[in-house]
Amino acid sequence: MINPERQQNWGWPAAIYVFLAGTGGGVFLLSLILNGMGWYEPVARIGALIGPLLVWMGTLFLLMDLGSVAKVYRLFSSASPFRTSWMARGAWILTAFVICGLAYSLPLFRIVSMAPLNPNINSRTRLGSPCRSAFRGRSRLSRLSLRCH
Amino acid sequence: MVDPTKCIGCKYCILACPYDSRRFLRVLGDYYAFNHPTPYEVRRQNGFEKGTVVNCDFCGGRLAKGRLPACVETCPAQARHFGDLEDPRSGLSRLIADHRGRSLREELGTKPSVYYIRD
Repeated sequence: MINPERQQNWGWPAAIYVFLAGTGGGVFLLSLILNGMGWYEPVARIGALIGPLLVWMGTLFLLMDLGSVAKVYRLFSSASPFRTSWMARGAWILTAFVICGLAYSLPLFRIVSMAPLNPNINSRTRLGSPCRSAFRGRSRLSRLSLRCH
Repeated sequence: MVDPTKCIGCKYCILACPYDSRRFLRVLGDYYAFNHPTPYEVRRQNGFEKGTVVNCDFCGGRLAKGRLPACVETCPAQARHFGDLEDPRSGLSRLIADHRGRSLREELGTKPSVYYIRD
């Protein structure tokens, strides 16, 4: 079939991306497990934040390997991106991971606890009073994140 | 074929190509007069865009004007031929049939349209 040989088209930025994305994904997964079990809460919280940030940094390195960065929106503008292109699939998956990961981890920190969407409102946050009764102790997520405070 | 207005230069197709026939245009032209392209060089680069992938399209622009691909026209030994593969009576089809032309890696299902004749 096809002879295995060393690829020479992608440079060092792709290698850095692989490292950062792998590290970030692993850190995030570990933090999910720790958060779920309620172990090492400070570590788990910070891990959930730096995981998506590392992956995001990796995608910036990935952009460096593109020929024309100005046209990168084309990765997302295709009508059926998941049909054949692994590049397009990867772009969507990375975007979804970074957004969902940050949406999960940011509310775990008290500095953004004021956000109206935060399920994490408790008696210690004063500005959250309109949302407090709506969210307190309701969902599984809020119970889980209350434990982190 | 590659549409240079759409290609983002991710180079995945270069890795996927079993014929190793694609190239990445890192820079446009090694100008004869260093930084200043000559009128000929400007014309030659028309339609190419830096940071995209290129491959042979049998000189599609020339074919549209009824001319042969440049490599066929310029070959001093007439080792290259161009014609209509779909017409079994065309000169090219007969040439391939007479000399038992072989194409490369047909088993991959790529339906190659480049044939090589040995004898």
